[in-house]
Amino acid sequence: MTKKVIVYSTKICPYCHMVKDYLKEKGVAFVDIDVTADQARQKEMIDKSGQMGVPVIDIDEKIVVGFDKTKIDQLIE
Amino acid sequence: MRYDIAIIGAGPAGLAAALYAARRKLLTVIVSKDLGGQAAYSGEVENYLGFPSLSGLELIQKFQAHLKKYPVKIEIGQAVDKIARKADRFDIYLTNGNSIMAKSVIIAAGRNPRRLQIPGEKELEKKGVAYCATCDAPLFTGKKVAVIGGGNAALDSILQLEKYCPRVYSVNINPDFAGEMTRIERVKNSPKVEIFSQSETTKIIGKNLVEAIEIKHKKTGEVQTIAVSGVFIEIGSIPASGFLTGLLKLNEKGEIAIDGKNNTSQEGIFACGDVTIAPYKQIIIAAGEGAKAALACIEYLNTQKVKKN
Repeated sequence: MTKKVIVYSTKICPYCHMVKDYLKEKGVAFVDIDVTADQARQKEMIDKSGQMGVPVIDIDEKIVVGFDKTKIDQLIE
Repeated sequence: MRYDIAIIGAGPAGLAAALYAARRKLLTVIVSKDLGGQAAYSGEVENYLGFPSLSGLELIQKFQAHLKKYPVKIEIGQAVDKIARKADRFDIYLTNGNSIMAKSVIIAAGRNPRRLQIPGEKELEKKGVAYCATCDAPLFTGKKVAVIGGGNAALDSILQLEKYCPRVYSVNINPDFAGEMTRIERVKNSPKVEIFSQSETTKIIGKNLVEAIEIKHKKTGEVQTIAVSGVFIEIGSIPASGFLTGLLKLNEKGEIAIDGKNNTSQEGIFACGDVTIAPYKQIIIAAGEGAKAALACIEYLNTQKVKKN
């Protein structure tokens, strides 16, 4: 079943790039949101994750903060 | 699975060491909490030979792409709890409960940001408390922020943040900045920057996110509360050697003591990069030190092989 994946990130954050590269490697489609430009989506990210750090990954409404490969693998299987 | 070499840290030192080890067809694993270390967070790097100007992230991506051509196992998101020496190997215990066995170890653990250790700092980390303006400045667009510190890192952060923020409060415990003159002048001339010198940050205030900081003037004792949404703490760094006390000889700053061939005080354990006593902390030096440590480690493994036979 296809998961709905959203990645909240900024352009210059190294882990954001790693997460996106990793998802692409795994063939997982995701919505890429740059929170720098979008205050509303930044607030959305903070509300979902309870914090401001990027990246935040929403996988079918389950939240992962940072490049937590183990957790991401568990949720995308 | 017993590795020939376990490398702790995936910054420039660790990645360079892994390249050299892998090219000698040694079974190599890298264990690291992150990929790229301090270099990945650097803004523009203009002194890495061969690359006139690129971001730290781009440079790390090049290192990563190069290493991908070799069968090095890379475990990211793992912290090391401790290393134990056994008869003919080392056991590396990770904080997640797993362990790795290796015949030799190269420590390339780098440095971590120094903390202020004041109320609110830990609780509000990633909720407005940050240690890297390069990464997090854009998240504070249109907001007021404070930068704690008086050296080049603090000056750089202020200059990064003033691109995004209407107001940047500089809080410095000393009477003046201690850094590069051009940066100091740019900061002092910026209309967006308000400077509080000889001031100590005593508290970071906020319920779910940072709302304010409390500062105290060192001479007058005057206490002020400044409303901010972000606090960038730039007061230097400390070597990431906490997990090695008792195992390796460290200097008074906590840096790993090494000799000219990157040997530590334990046979079979080598160290390289910013975590060691090497005097200059630069990306190109870390990479060179990583290569050196790997070559010394390879020599060690060969002598061990001879002893066995």
